[in-house]
Amino acid sequence: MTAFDDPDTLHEFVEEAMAILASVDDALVALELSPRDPERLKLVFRGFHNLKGTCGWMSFAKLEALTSAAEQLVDTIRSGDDAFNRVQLRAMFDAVDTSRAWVRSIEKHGCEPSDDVSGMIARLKEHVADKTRGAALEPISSATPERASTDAVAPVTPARTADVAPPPPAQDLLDEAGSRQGETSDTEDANRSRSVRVDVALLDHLMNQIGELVLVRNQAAQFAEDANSRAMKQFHQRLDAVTVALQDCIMRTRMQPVSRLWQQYPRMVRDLSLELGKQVDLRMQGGETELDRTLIEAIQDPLMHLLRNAIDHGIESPQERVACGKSATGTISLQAYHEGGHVNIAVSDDGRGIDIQALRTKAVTDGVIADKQLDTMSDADIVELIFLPQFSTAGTVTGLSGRGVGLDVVRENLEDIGGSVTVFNRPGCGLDFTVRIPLTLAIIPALLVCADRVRYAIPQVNLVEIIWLASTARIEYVYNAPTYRLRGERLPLAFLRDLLSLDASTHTPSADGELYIAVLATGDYRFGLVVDDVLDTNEIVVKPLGLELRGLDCYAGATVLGDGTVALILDASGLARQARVGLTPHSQTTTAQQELVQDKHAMLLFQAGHSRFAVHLADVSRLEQFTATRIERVGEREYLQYRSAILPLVRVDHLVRERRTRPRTSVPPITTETDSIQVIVHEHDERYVGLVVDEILDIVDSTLDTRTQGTRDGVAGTAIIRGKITELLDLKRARHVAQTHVSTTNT
Amino acid sequence: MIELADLQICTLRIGPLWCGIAIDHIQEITGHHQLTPVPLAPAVVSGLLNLRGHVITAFDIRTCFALPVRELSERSCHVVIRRRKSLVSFIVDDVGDVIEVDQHALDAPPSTLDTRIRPYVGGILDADADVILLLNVDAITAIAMVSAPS
Repeated sequence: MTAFDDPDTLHEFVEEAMAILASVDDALVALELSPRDPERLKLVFRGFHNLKGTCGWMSFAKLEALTSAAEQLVDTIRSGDDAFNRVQLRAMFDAVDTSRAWVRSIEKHGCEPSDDVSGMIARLKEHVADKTRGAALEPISSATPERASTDAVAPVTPARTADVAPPPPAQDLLDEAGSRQGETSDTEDANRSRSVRVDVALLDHLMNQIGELVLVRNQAAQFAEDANSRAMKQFHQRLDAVTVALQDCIMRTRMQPVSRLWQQYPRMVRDLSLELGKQVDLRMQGGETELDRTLIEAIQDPLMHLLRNAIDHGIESPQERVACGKSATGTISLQAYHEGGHVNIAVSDDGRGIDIQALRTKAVTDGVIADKQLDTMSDADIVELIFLPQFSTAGTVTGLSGRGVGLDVVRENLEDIGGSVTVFNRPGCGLDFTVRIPLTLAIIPALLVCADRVRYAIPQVNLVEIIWLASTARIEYVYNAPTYRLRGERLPLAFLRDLLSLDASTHTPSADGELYIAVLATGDYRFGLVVDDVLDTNEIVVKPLGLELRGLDCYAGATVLGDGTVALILDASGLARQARVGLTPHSQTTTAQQELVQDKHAMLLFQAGHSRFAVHLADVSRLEQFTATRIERVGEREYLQYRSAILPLVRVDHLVRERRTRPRTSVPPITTETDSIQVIVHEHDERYVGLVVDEILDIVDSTLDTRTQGTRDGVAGTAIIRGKITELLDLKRARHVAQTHVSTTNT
Repeated sequence: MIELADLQICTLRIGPLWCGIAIDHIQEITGHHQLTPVPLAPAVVSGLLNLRGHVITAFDIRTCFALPVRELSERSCHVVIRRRKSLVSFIVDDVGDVIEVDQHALDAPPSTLDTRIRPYVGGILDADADVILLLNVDAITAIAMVSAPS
């Protein structure tokens, strides 16, 4: 029992130990699939070895003994050129869990818990002895629930058995993981000299100071404007350049790859699927996508929830899957990618999806939706119902997660950070959730508006458009509710003055006069906020309101404007609540929400393989027809000489493949059956890509539902254009493929 | 109660009342600031001010003592108070001296004190001819605490 007085040393120990355990955990999950992977074995060995060393130095004797026993077991296996069997792996997982719980406990109390670990150590030693005796152990059935797995899901089971200190909920782990490198210990060594660990509080402080600097810069801008002096303007320009660069740097220090959040998932998916007797393959893409640290913290619960839902309710049992003609192993894919100032994270499973009919029936029997209303609701509207509180569609609700129970919380949590979540149902084939997150919270673009001569800031994220009205005559009243007809849709209006109970005498909205409608969107709903005046857009630094004002949900915070005055930041969802917009879900508001993501676009339609595709016409620089003989092949790549440059060709039907098939394994055949090929030339950053398609179909003006994300590689999304399902080609992917062409041929 | 240390109290005037705040609570006293109104907030909140980049809630504690709210004068100033980790400001009409008093000199407020005012008075002090009301900072800021929506 060692009490540690120095909190810094202790903190460092905890950080390091947790980092090691996380990477070991990761490696163990991987070892379960490929038990002979020498790199992973080495990683596990080194992890325990390092941990043992640190524990020894810190005089945590029991933890040292435990990690030493684990190290021995790995070593025996490694030196014997052998592989873990299931029992041994389980012992290793147990050792990791226990170590983690102990490190937690050490962090809390400064000393080791008094629990006895001799049993666990003995078991590990037994395995070592077995190995040396050469005893072979039969692998155990994977369906047997394991102790490790029940512990790992402890966060959702309300009653957890606490005989030993339970392993920490995976979420807690991330608080630690948040401030450290996500690399495996191998690469960590290499990086150690180039990176340092910095206290998060210090970074936050730095961020605040940069926020101040931004404000000073804004004020300087105003002075420069007023002073009308050349020197002052130059000074301001320099200040501006430095501030922008500094802001950029400091923002980057706050950015962390989402993989940091994801590294705990393989283990969780393994444990949970084992327990539920399911086979799940977790695929993660785009883990390098970076997000603000605070946002990563904010999305960990919602993401975990979606993932659990997918395993628990989305993926069917192996038998059921085989009966449906699917492979026994289900796939859950996590994809993170940038999209226009946002980061999207898609959680898709290839499970059973949502049975629309069952959902309709349940909605009526539960009294969520009136019978009549149901008829007017589209399938997409129906699926949206799962986000309503206490709406579960699982036939049997397990203790883990009922599909739907808690999805309202998921949506709420995401909306709190200015994000949103949408769902796309593929009945029988799976369910896709797309989580949309703003890049950062600290400095945001905002629109300044005016009401009763006071300025307010509206975050740009919530702003859809601004409408100027010459007179109030165009506001139509439905009984006493003001509305405005916006492109055929009736948009509910709310007067900011009324919402904030401002003095109405200074300005009567009924009097003829110009006014502005700021169309705001929160996750669910859209409404028009009527303001007196619209000023300009500004990068604002979000400052929290004092504790005493947090309860006012109309405000998201405050900011200091260029002239030094404080302006309140309006919270769109809070205002919506205040205005009672969409208190009850009904089809009109959901269609309004859909319209939000739908916009008219000129699209080029074409056929490739057996599918119809579309690209934005704006992305097409020209359409060409070449004789097939002009195609030149280098390796397995195809090129064309085009305008005295090399045009890499990408065959759309090869680019887009079903996820299951391995991409680009076969050499694309040279077109011989036809003597000409159709090529869409796409230009980006002065590089050209030629997309080889079968047939150019049409150019249409179409609305585009961007909510539906792609179901296979090379497809950015799916839309219904002219009544047919049309896939939107992922041009980024095409460029990437084309680019690897060029670079590989150059070398 | 710490017996040894003397209490240092900053005296301030709110309308006709002389009040005091233990100097440990006070970060600084600043002059006039432009206030941004906070609609929907309780009456005691008179607005937000920008103190070197920090957004601080300003309380007009006249309302606590049932005094009529009036336009802020040139002499009115902000007493910036550290409360746990955040800062708040009390708007006062005037600031007097810092006085040192013995802990023993601190009396409990009389039982006849108006019950509406009582929670905000931590104790009373006799100083020369005046009576100084020692303010209960936590109780005053708590009035404004808007309950979070469920």
